[in-house]
Amino acid sequence: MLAIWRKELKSYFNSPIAYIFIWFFLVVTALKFFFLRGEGPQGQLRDNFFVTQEASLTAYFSVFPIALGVLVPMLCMRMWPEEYKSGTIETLMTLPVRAWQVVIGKFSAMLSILAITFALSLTVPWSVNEAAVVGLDWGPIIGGYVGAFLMGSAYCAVGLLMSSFTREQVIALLATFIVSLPLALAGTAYVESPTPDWLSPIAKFVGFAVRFQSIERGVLDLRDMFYFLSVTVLFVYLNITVVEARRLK
Amino acid sequence: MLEVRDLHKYYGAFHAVRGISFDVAKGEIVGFLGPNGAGKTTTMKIAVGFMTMSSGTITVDQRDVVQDSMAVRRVIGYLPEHAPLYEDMTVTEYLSFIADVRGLRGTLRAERLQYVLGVCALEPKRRSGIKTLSKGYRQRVGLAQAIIHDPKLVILDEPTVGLDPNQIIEIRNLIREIGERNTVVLSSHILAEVEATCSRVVIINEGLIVANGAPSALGAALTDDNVVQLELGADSCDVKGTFAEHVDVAEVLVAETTHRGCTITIRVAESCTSTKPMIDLSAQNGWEIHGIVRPNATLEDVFKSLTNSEGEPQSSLILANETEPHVEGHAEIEDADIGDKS
Ligand SMILES: Nc1ncnc2c1ncn2[C@@H]1O[C@H](COP(=O)(O)OP(=O)(O)O)[C@@H](O)[C@H]1O
Ligand SMILES: [Mg+2]
Repeated sequence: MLAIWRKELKSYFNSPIAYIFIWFFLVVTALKFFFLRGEGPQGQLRDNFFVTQEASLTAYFSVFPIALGVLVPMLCMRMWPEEYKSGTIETLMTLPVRAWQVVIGKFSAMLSILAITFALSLTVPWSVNEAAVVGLDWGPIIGGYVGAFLMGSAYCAVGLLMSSFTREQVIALLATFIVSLPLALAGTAYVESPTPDWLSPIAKFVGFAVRFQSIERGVLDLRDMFYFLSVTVLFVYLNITVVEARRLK
Repeated sequence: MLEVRDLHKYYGAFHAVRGISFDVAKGEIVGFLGPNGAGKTTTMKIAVGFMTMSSGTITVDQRDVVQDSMAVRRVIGYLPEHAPLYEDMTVTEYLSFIADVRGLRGTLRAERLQYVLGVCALEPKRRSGIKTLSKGYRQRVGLAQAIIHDPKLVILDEPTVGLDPNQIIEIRNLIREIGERNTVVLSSHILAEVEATCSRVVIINEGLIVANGAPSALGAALTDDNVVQLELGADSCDVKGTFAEHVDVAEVLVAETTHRGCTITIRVAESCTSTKPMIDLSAQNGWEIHGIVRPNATLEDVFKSLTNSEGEPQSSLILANETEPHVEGHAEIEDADIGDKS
């Protein structure tokens, strides 16, 4: 399992994917936070950091659900399609490792990229802390990162599953978008009008952004954490099942 | 070492493997031969535990490949068709990855890495990226990967396909070398391939085994002992006519003109037990005899006669003892029939 994690991580950094992911994530979220006037998920207007000088990262974290929803599929698209297309899946699945070990190995490599990205993004709270008149309250920030990591791992799990259905990276990418974007946006103000009334409570339940919002405010609601964890576990489990089924077919 | 019993595999409604059974004893190099689409790859994928069978059993080293998959995977080395490799790794990175997953540690890991790099002549390429390697080198990396854990059974699917003649010879030598330590099963659709490397051949066609035995024994079994070939210093037309009329000749099979005269292949009558009448006949006509042989059927002939499928039930030629693999039922029959019988 460790060997598979190492192999996947190495191949991330052998290709531009990891760099692109990290770079985009950091730049997009920082730009949004520092320079753009934005809208919160509930439709409220937010000024950029230089206007407000507010010692809070709420506006920073609020970009995370969308940013991760758009960027994480990039991390997933290569995972299984490459193995299926090149045939390396045959060597891999006839080594003395079980399917779950391979899946967890791949999944943990994705989590490692997330962790690296988030670690680098700590420069933002750090600079806010330096610049702001009042120092930062680190509690909500730690909470925000914990939440972001859980949300990110849920996205990874979804993407990993989607990529296991196909041999084509592009299809894997699109399939992941098709599932993770609705998950990201469900229940937010952006999609309020097209969402029918009866769907709205469900949307608020599954929506990643809505869930994340409460975490980001510093309210560490166990239910939200548990939700992201459950999604992760469910999709990783489904992935193991799919990989087994595809192999034995 | 490997026992396949009544193996069936359906792909949907398509019956790809239709009940095959064979054994491979420890130390053998067995060729699994058949035309494209015969079911070789399917059988191998099932044997290594990548796919499941529709019915039947396979055991490797007395262990069931389905029930005891992990144990079986530990003792098998497998080179899939086309040697799939991770393109973005270097040779050493790739082999180290396989060694790690196979649980090799410490000095043993270092020794085995060194050993396979040496045996497979990969030393000069150890730091090269796999995507820069030629097909021959890729195949060697695939072989290195398959033997890194010193497996009891090595399964190679079409190990020389797509290689140029020099690379083929190198890979064959390598397979023979591997065969000295390990039991090897390799598949091929090329006869020369298995004739060159294997002590025994299992021929499969359309999901059925049609022959099983030592290459030379299979040839001998199909050899028609009544066929005689003479090379004479004479005109082929004269020769053909004269021989056709002789009492001891059942049939003239071929008569061709060559630079020395002609070559004539005849089937002699069952009653005729020696080649003397043919020699006498030639002498009477004043034809110089350049040579006389009783040709042996080659594996080529075996293959042709058994895989000539027009949907008809095929004859099959099973020389190896299926249930008791350790009996030397497939001992080589020496090419005793070659040569001058006069
Ligand atoms: N995944 C699959 N789905 C459907 N049919 C398949 C599949 N794999 C192989 N076949 C069919 O099964 C037969 C045997 O294939 P294979 O075992 O690859 O033959 P070989 O390796 O001897 O060339 C072929 O007719 C092939 O078309
Ligand atoms: Mg094949």
